[in-house]
Amino acid sequence: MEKISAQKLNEKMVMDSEGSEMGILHNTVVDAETGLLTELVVKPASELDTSRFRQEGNYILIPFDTVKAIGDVIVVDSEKIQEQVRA
Amino acid sequence: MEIEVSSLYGQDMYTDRGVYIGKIEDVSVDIKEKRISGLAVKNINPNAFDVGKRKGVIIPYRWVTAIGDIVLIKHVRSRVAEKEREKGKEEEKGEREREK
Repeated sequence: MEKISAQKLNEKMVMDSEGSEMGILHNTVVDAETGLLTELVVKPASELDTSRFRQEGNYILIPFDTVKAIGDVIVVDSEKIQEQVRA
Repeated sequence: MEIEVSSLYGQDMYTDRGVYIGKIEDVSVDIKEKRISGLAVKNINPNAFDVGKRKGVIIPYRWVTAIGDIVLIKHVRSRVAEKEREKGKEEEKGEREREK
């Protein structure tokens, strides 16, 4: 299952690789020229520290290259996020 | 230019020669490649695509040339037109052979 409808992605839960919930996927950002997915737009879980992330209104942006797996939930790599935040 | 995937839903698609294709219904994403693989289009213009009984077509993303208020794709010769052209050629051929 490599190809998936983008509409089915939305409303999926986003978790980090340590198992804690980050939020619910609201939208995905793409580069229109290349079609490459660049960012996840996530409605953050209430317990998440959103100050670590770039924010857009009530949503946080998570770089798509931190995504490890997409199944019933979306798993993002905690270490990569740490790196991105530090950078 | 970066856009949100959901902004594509409902957009009209035309070819770069101004032929209407249809309306974008969904976006197909390749998870491994982390990119959009295709655009699912419904409400297909029957003169542009012969879809038969199917509801729509998936347009490969590499055909897309521009995204703004509408989506433009490379002009594709419609299968219907192609068949007619081939038929025309065959008739021409037949005529030429008769002339000989």
